[in-house]
Amino acid sequence: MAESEYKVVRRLEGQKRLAGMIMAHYGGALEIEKNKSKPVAWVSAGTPAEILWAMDFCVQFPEAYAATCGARHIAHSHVEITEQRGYEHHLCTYCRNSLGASISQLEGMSQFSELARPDFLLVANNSCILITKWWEHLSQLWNIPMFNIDCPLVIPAYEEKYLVDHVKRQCLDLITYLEEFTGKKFDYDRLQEIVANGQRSSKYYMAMLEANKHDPVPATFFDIMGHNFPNLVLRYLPETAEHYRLMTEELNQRIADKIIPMSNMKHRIYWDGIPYWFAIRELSEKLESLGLCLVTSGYFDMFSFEQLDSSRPLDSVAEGVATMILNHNVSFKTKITENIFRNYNLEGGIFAYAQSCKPFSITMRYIAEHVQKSLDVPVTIIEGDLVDETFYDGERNNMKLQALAETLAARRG
Amino acid sequence: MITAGIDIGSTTTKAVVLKADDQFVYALQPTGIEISSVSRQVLAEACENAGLQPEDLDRIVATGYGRISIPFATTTITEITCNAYGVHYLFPNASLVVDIGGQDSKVIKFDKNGRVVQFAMNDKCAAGTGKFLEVAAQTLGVPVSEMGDISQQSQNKVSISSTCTVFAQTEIVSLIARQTNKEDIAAGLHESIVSRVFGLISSVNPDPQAEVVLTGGVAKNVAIVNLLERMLGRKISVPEDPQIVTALGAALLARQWES
Amino acid sequence: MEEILATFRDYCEKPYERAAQIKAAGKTKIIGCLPMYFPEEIIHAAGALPVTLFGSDDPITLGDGHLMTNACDQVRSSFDSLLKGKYDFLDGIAAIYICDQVRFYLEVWQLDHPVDFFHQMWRPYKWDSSTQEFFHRELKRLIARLEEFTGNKITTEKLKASIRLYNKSRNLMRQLNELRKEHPGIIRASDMACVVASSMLLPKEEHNELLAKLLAQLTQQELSAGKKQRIIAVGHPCSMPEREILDMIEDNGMLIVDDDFFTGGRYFSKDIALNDDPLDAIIDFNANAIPCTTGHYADAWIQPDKIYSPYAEYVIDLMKHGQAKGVVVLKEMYCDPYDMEFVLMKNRFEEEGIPYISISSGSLEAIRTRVQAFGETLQFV
Repeated sequence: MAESEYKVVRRLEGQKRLAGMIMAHYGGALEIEKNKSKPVAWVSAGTPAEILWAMDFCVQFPEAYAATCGARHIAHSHVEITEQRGYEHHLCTYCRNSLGASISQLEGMSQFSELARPDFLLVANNSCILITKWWEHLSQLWNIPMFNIDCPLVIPAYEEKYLVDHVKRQCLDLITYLEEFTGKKFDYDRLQEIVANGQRSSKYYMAMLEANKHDPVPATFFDIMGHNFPNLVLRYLPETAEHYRLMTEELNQRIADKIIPMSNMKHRIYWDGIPYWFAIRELSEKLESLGLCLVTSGYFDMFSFEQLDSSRPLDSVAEGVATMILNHNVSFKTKITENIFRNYNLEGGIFAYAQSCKPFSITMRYIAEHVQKSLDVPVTIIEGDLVDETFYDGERNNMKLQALAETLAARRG
Repeated sequence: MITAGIDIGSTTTKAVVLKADDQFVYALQPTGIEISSVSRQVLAEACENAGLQPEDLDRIVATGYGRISIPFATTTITEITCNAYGVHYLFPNASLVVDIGGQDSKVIKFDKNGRVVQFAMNDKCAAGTGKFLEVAAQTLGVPVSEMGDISQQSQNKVSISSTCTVFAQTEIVSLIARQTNKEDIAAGLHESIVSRVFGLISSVNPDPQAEVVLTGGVAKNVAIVNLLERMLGRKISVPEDPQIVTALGAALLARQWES
Repeated sequence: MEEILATFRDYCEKPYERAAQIKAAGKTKIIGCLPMYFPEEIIHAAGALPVTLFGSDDPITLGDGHLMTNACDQVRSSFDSLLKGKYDFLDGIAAIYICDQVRFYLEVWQLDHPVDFFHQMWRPYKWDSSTQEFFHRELKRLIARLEEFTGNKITTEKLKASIRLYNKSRNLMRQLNELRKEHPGIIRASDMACVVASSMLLPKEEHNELLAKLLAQLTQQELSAGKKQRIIAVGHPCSMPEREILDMIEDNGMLIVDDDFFTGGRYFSKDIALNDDPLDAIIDFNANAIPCTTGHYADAWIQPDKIYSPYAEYVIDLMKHGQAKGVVVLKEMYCDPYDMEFVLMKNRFEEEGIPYISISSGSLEAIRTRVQAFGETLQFV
């Protein structure tokens, strides 16, 4: 790639729009809490949030909030609060950020903007069972009811129908419970509308991700990952699809105009795992200096909600919950990863091990080793955590990233 | 061309000066806090040993954790790449190096040109490194250099269960309190180190026939070599001066460096 | 009596010797079950021998190959044993996903060291009429696969007979447990753990015989607690408690009168209440099992005025029924469910003024000091 032909423009136009959407969501939720105009629910990423949106709940996502806390470097103070209350150091820091923030809020100690106080909690164990325990602790702190959806690990031995039925039965139980909780009848037409919005939003979300198949990419993984937020938190709104349509347009325009997101784009690299929210700038600078361009990540798959289908609203919602990407065996995840490498023509991999996230970390080394062996690509595993900076060793990680760059350079030439 | 490689490790800084006729000499000193000035000193000493002045050097490559603090280096290359290349130079048939350093353990798989294929490092716990032995030696009241020999005299090795250097220290103290002899404790410690490293080795899927080389300060410990040979089921090669292989690799790579 | 206890201890020291012998005789298939809760009765009804797979005390070498060190010891150690060939006498391996670590890693066992019969099974973390249906399906799937693998039909009668046998085993263990509640010190906690653990390593028929003999001898003894304080010990999920720690507790002014260990109360407290349909009975047994930190008990969390930790309440009940003065909590390092629950437990203990101490695996010396201190404080309660 002759770099002289290309112009570096780091910022995406869509960034402003995204920031507006995020602020509107959090600000709007606090308004709702003040006016008590709607019940507020806190949910985990893998839940059938469509059901709550259809019942006009204000829905918030503590996991997304944790990412924000990490990025703003306030997670550590939340996490410390939990350690004083007896939570062990190795426990998930998304969880402990959330519990610490809740404790702060309840005891009037918050120094930062908060989530609107919850009236109801919904969680699914398709991402992990620790999240169920996390939600139990939220239930205990806020003294409000919680509902859990049990999701069996997807293995080839099952017919998908039985997995989906299992989840759907629980969704119907949830609906019954919510009708009592709100005193309103569940509106299946509204559900269909919401699923249709989510379906459109997901379609444009996937189109946006395709843009990075181009060489050179119009944006790096770090540039785009913030745009997971709308599909997770706001896919029920009609304007979310429009955001992704515009994003896709912008990225394709950048490709046409020969605009690139960074200088020194030497190697196309895969990122695995949840980003280290507190270290993005540091990592971006380091990666640019080494010529490593982050093209894409399996992390996007968690926010794709591709199953949504307005012709079968509840069924497709249940399907999405039951077959969420994290809820699979390691061989399945390895194959998905290998496909991403092939589809996006990637040369190397950075696997970001998160000390406190056992579901991700327990299979990470296996997947990294197998991808390295089957595709003959160099990979490295760096160490850190989702939001707790004390686990991040910049020195060692920089060395591993540099070694990866050196290995890639040696292969080329 | 005359090149030099400086390897700034957490404990020791090593410098190798490589002459045009492929002869090389080295020097080493404890790193301390003044990284830049210690590096200059070590480099000057190595130059002196070579009968040269620092100005005679055409290029200098800095490696090791302190590499970014060397303003007079031509460029920096990681110790992963340098270690593999240095080992490849000394052992042309090798394809795997195990480096048990002061604070880091690494395993590097490389190809027949000395280029890195895959590498793995210990996660942050220091129980598979030289530090572990140092702390243990201190606790047992024996010189670190004698730990290997002492462990070989064990008749009844004890298992050290702690995965952490700090906890292992407490464990050693309680073993001593229970009249366990230091030979058996030392043997258990050595096994602990080697088993931690073994996990790293299996993670890079080495060729079962690969020639394996051991580098780093701990490579001079006969007990470690023997244990590792037993675990891998083959002989291991150890360079004459295992501590300076990475700096040598840096000096060699300096020759190939293009701006 | 000492001889029988020594036999039980021996089985724990050499856990798979008996199973390997049976395997060598050539007529029985051996299926290894990872802790906890695998429905062993069904394996038994297929004419195979279920044995529980514990890790070992060996330093972990191969087991670290793919795993980072924040996996719990049981998971790392048993994986290490698998790769070292210690389980090579097995014809099959089966497990339910007791936690995130097992759930996401289990398949690697089969990928790295395959066996002829490998069975991953889902046991719901939340039990209600909706989730039970899936478990029913899972039981039928297990039956179908076992029938295919062993060539033996698992009839209703055979399954009932196996359940009866396992109930008998649990009954004998409960009798032993009652004895130690009435006469603390009649059997050491470490031996009690060996008795239960060894039942997971032998054919139940053999174990029942041995245990019945032990009971007959014990009922002839009378012991009093003396100055020692009655306590209960809880925790140590998924593994054998370290005998040294149990001995240490009982050598420091305390007697463990009850527990909820996997190799203890958790295993034998309740029976499968047989009725016409053994599968229904098994489902019922699981839905009403003593609380586990991995479980989500919907009723306890869905009603705003009724929010509590069923596990913490169970431990407090266990203590009261045992007339114990305090609780020793044995925690496994890096066990997420238990460490989360522990925060709720300690809040409850503090609310009720219950003396407790928590012990994580670590240096015996450090543990000894804390245990001694705890024993001393109990004198003043």
